[in-house]
Amino acid sequence: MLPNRPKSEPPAPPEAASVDRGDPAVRAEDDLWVKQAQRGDARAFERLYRRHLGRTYALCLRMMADRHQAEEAVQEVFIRTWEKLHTFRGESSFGTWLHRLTVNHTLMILRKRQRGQRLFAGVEDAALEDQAPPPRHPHHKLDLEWAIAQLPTGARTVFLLHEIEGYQHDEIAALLDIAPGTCKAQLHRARRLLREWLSQ
Amino acid sequence: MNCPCDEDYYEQYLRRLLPADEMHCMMEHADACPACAQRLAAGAKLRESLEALPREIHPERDLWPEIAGKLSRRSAWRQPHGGVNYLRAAAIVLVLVAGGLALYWLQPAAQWSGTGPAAWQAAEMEFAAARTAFLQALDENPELDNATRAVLRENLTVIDGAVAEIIAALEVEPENPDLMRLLLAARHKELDFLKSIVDLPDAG
Repeated sequence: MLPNRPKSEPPAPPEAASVDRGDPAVRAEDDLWVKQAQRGDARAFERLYRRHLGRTYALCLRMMADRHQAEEAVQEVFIRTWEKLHTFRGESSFGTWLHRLTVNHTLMILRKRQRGQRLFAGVEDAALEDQAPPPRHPHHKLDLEWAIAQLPTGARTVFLLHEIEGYQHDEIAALLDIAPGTCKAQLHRARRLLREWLSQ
Repeated sequence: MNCPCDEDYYEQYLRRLLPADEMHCMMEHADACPACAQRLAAGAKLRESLEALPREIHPERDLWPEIAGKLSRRSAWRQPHGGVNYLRAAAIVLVLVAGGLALYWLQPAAQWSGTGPAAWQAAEMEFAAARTAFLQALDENPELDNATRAVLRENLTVIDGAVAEIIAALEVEPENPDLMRLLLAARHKELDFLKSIVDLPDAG
């Protein structure tokens, strides 16, 4: 029999919610460009955009599970970033601040897409119990990106925020307005489904 | 033999976060339990795929032109050619001209004491000296780029044109106090404009 162990949550993955690259030179450059952009410098803002586009688009694409919607989301995020840039005080890195803005904005889009329904409707919960792998196009490689995109919206959101973006359960629960227990349950089920699909 | 019922426990094993003795126990259990062995193998495959996911993905097309297009319709967006500074400078010119006219109507005639060509020419010399000093400071301001300086000088040219018309009128009517007052007001406003540009910490 395996020894009893207090239930505890594994620490967040190494790529945590902070998107600090840890490079002081990068952060210093970002800080300079932010100050210039705050004074209305379009070129400086474009530099910030190009540096942080890859990370931002990856998050939007995985959350939206749709290329066209992800492109729209990215545009909205950077427009919103410009509008709110005057509120950035430098307490965190610009990348971290942008990342939080991106998460909040994509969640807002997903809620609107659900047309007022909660991201975790009861029917979705039950549907996860026995979900066969979704049919796939013959040319689609059964890879993780594709599999994640097939998850129901709520489970996919929890999985992405926890496993890729490094949020803890209580943070995700607060963002999604659900109980931490529901968040854990959704993550476990998402993992189970992905394990099954990837094993096909 | 009892399998772990905690999903997180499997994750901690896969991430090698369990204490050494528990790692060993789990390993031995997996050797004897096909269900757990299969579950751990699938979990390891998922974890491996997760770690291989790219942290950055770039869109297939450049989204910047659309973003810049939408932002350019906002007033604070400054294009590299100095678009916003042009707007600000133009607004200042308008205020300058309007202010000059307003001062002409608001200030009583008694405030201006001199009359005749000598008086307004003396005033012109005084203003010319002050203007030269400000323009030198404008050129030496490191915060301003060349494009912005060009726009500001262009707007000064517009102001000069308005003042030149007043002077032309004064040459026809050198004793006209209203024209003198208008000239004085315009020159004061011009110097205020130059001073505001020189004093701006982020005019670039």
